[in-house]
Amino acid sequence: MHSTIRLRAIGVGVLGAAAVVLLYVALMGSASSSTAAVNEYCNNQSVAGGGTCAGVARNLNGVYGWGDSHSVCVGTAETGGPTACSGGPGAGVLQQYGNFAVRTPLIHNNGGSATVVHGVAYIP
Amino acid sequence: MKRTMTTAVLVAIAMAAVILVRTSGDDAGDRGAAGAAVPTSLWDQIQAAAAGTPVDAARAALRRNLRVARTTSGRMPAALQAKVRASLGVPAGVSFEDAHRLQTSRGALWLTNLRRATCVVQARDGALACDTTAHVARRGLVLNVYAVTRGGRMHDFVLFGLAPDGTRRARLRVGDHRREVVVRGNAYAAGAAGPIALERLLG
Repeated sequence: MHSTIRLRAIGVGVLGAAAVVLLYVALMGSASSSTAAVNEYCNNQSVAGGGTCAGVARNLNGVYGWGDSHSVCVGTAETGGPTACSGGPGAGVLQQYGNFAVRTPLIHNNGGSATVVHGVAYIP
Repeated sequence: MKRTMTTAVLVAIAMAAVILVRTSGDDAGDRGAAGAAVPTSLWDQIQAAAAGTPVDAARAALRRNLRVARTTSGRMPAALQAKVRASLGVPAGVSFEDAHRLQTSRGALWLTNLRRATCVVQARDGALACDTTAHVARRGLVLNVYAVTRGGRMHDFVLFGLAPDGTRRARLRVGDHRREVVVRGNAYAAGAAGPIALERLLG
């Protein structure tokens, strides 16, 4: 009887671990599908007029950005710098790339005075 | 049993930690890049990228490949010109060489050339995307914009596109869904609640 209880306990443990592994695989699978997740860079940072904030390099295929006071431009260092600019405060711009690669996201304050900027990167 | 359960719990905690690390924001090391070797002027960047291509040849390719570039040049409103000039960092003395207005289902655009750069500019507020004229002549250009609430929520995404002659439709992707839009007069546009990506141009 004692060994039966022990076997059952082991079975429950193995099933629990298997369930966790399956959950992990499912989550990883959904994260790497075409519906990409997002994470922030240079978020809520004040950037002087004409200045640029660079985020930490990461695997991404697109960069979003907007400024609180006026327009900003976004891009990545590896693709030459900012390539698209927003229209003004409350308006954002998104630069997409054809593939995921490790890139350094940039957000450039193209105005003459400081603005708080917000950057979001498109990650797998 | 205790040991097995403890192992299972530890495995679960480790998995959860991995998942959290993969999905959390990672902007702790972000930095101001003034002084870093990062191009900050869109103008300088495009002129440098196109340095090997003669302006006339690139402009001829643009006219050859896009009907809208062969139409009579219009005049962008002065306020919009100033906005584009500021966004690009265009040096004094460089003027807008031509500008062509395009109408889309989501509003008007301007196609304009400044030396080696060709830009698509949203007529409403001056949002823009630019590339080298040679690149735009071959592949067109995309401008992706959206609105942001005070709380930082992104919404009302709009994709504007410029496509070479012979392109009839553009295949777009919103999340896991695909849709096609008709290209008229070298331009197309679409709106969605989430980000829109251009998958390919179709003849």
